[in-house]
Amino acid sequence: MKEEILNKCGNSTDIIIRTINLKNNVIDCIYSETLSSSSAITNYVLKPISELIIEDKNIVNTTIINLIKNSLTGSSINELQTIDEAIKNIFLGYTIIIINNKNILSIETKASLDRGINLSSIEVSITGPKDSFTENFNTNLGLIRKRIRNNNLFVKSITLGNESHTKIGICYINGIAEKSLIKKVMEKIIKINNDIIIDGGYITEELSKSTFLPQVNQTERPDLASFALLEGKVCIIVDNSPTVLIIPTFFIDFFHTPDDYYQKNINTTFTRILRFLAFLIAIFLPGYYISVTSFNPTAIPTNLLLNLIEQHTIVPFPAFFEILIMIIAFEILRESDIRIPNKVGSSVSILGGLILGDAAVSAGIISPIMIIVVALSSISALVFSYNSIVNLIRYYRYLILILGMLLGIYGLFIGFGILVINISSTTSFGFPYTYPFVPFIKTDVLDSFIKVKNKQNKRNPLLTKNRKR
Amino acid sequence: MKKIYLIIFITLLTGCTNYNDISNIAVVSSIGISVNGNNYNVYVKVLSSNQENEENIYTKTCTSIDECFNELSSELMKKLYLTHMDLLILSNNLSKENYNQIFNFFLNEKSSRGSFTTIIIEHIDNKILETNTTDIKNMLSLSLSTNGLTKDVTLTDIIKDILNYKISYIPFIENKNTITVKGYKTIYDENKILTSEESLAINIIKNNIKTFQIMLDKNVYKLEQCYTINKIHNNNIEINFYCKYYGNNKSDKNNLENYLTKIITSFTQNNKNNYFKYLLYKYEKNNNDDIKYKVNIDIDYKQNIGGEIFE
Repeated sequence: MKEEILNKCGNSTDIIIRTINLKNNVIDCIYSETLSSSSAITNYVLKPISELIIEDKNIVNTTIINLIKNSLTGSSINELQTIDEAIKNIFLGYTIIIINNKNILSIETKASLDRGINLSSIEVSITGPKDSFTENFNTNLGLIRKRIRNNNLFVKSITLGNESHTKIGICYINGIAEKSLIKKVMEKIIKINNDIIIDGGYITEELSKSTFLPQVNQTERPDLASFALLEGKVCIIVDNSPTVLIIPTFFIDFFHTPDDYYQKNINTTFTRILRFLAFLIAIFLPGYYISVTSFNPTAIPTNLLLNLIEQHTIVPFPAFFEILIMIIAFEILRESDIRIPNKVGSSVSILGGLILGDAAVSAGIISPIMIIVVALSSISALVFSYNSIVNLIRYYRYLILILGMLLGIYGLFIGFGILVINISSTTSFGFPYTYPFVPFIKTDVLDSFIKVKNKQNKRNPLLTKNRKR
Repeated sequence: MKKIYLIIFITLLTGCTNYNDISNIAVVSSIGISVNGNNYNVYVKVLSSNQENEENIYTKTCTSIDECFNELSSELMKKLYLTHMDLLILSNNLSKENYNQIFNFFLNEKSSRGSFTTIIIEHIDNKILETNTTDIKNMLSLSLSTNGLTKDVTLTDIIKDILNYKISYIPFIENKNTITVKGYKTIYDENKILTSEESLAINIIKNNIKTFQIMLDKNVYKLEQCYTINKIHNNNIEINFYCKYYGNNKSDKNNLENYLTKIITSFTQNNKNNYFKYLLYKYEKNNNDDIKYKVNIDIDYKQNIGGEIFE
């Protein structure tokens, strides 16, 4: 039997077999040394078995199975029927115990292969909790359960990925989340037929319609996921993914951070208005600059216009190409900054941001005002920690830039119209993206771009309209 | 497909041809136009983007204003951009035809906004163009608040006046040794330089004045919170002017009222009053030239007690 297992695993070197002889009985312990903890194997498997004293030479096989079962101190012990089951368990981190080449037992000896609970690195909070999700399914679920100690927090698990066998957990609060929403999410997830699910991004891609606007939110913060569950949303935990997916999501969600609920309302209102302004600046500033300088210099005060002309005279390219070069250079800089190791990151930032920018101006390739415009626009986009909204800003910035270059201020208004139409025509799992403005929900409008008062309960009236409150 | 056609159609409506790279434009600050026989002399002050050389004045003599601007554009290799223009200086010797051509030019020029100050000057030279436009504007507003002489008038105001009354009042500036505001000059149907009293009268009639000073017998009287209400009934036009005067002698009130009544009555008798004819036509549908005027001046005398010691 053990030879068959080894053969099926391709005689992989990390599959270890340890054989123990007890009188006339042969006990084979098989495990993967990469997925299992050696101390767990020693303490919960090998030590109890080797300490067994069997005096009767003619002991029955069932008796020895019971003896071994009783001696094992592990928390989860199962009796398996087939070799395929045994192989699957080996790769889940279990140790397989084959008794006299007939019976198979499995005992959990998983090694902890995650990095532990770390500080959240993307969605940083000043005053709120600092912990973030990890790559471990159970840890992530525990971090949510720690915040919602309620038996109504239901978790439905399924395995996805024909080859990867990734564990997916669908969490919701029974009694708050709409049954129709849960059903819809479950149906969509079951339909996913990928070979491999490495990260939550795979699920997001499958659940989203083809639009610029993100319909599924991803968070690395357990407090945000807990808030979402209490609102009536559904969270999806994907094993090996450090982010949890939140369904459905609304446009206004990207302007909110967990910090908003840990400080005074007036401060939250100020920062939210600032974020909205940053959103508009990030999208419209380069396009506005191009349209004003190329079509409507009338709108520029005389002294500023003269200043711009002086700066632009030395540049050999039209303003549009100049700004395009700068935006693409910034995108490359941002992408390299994300990918390169932290140790050299700061030097690349200095080289790229300061030296390259200064040299480009000195060489007469770029005008200083263009650096200000692109830097201001790009920095404004960095106000948002959600990658999906940063991507939305990026695409719309290019669109508005082209429209501004072709049609001037008129193009800007067309672009704004397209953005509004896009937002208002999008739905996330059947719920309008423009909540709480359309449909208008007065209580939630007071916690949208502004925050006037704290809600007594977190329930979202749109998501829980069929639930008793 | 209909949507695509609609987008293309909207795009075509927008006029992509308006595209102008800012490095290809010359920002014009002020323009001077005079006539010499059948030719126009056009003076253009272009603001320089180079900080060392602040402004350049270019002169051209041609048969039409458009021609002058085209030639100057070719010379500078840049499009003359008039949106940031502050001042239009016209010479004293322009005829009705010349004014028509000038107004047509600015109305047809896409980059012109018409919101620039317009003045008439005795003789145009580089010196007046070199003068800061803000200084000239300040001089005009000061002349209104001190002597009630002239208001800052834009080209749009002038064109509006000509379309309505066939006459417009433009500030007239003398530049012999120094630059001095003399009052208004009428253009179009009438071509006349008004005296300072006539200029004050038209400012009172048109309700341009809020505060001003009058010099009588070497005494200066300051009038404040002034306003005018013109009443029209049949052929009668009643000019009612109200002001507050803070003084120490009540008899000054009568002197001021008599003086202002005299200058307004004199103005209505000695000048073509197209302004009133238009008002009559507009409100009474009356084309009668025999207009009867009634002037009421009401100076509200207030005892000035601030800092005064009474015996």
